[in-house]
Amino acid sequence: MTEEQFRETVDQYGDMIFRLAYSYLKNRADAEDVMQETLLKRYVEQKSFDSPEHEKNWLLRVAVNECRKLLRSPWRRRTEPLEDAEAPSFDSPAQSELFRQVMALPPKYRAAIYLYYYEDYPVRDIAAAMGANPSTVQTWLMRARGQLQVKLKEAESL
Amino acid sequence: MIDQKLYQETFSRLCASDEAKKEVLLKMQEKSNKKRLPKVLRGILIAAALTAALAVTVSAANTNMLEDILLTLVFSDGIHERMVDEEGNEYNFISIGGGTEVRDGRVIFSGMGEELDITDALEADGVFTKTYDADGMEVVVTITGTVEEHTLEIVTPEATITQAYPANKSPAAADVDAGLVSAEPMEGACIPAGE
Repeated sequence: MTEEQFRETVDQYGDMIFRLAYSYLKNRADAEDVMQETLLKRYVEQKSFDSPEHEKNWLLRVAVNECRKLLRSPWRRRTEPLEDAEAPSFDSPAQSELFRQVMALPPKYRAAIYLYYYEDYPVRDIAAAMGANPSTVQTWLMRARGQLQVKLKEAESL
Repeated sequence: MIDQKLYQETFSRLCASDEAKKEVLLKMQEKSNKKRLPKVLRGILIAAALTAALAVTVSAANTNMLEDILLTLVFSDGIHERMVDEEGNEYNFISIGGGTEVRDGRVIFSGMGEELDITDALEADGVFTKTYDADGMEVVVTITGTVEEHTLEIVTPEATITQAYPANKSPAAADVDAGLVSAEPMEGACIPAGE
């Protein structure tokens, strides 16, 4: 992979990896670390891929592993992530509320939701990326939807 | 159910900072630099007759630990050259240039992006010398002899390259102090860019 190709990879996948990592970790600095680490692995390993989808799947899988590694680290387990001071600003209260409620879900649910609703990934591919059974992912999605539905309705009624 | 459009609009606001993206490019360059040729090879590297489409085989003749590396030129501005090997690793070089030639009885040195008529210096003193600064690396060019028969010596901190004119006066077109003998007539010499 040349420098130019690496730049293109950063442009093409940087935000995708960041969003997944942010969904998982709920922290901008950690998510950026994961983005960098994942992309550098892509550069160092110089893997060849059958298709852009293959490459994307690989990057997502590596990003999930990096997120897990970070979550498992003794340092992170002893410290509570700070609330993100740089949370994005939204156009509407609906967006703001959705963001707040999604980020209140458990990390695995948030990551699965992101891959399903943002990246349009089928359950099978989410399972592959997250190293889980498809039935488990299905359960995560179902529970996440259920919890969100309740929370969003509560917020609406206030 | 989650409104997918609303979800996508909401989460599209999440973007990595430009600083983080720039930083990863810098980290990549650091890793890339670490992949430069090992010092022992860097000191003895010669590439012959570089053209834009040419693949060049670089041999490390006096070392067993390094195998031939096939490098392909991907960028050149006349002085700086970038090559990639088969695995996509990049190598940056500074090109010395084309050496000497005799035109209409005049000795012309081509190198470091310029052409110089050195006939007068050779006829007067038997030697021409010039020091260049190549991105902070000192390159000393010395040509000794006569118009008809002379030797070009290029000294850098990492290598000394010699070239005889005419080429068939020498057993090989180019010798390097570390022992490499290029099998090809040397029309241009490349030295790895300093770190």
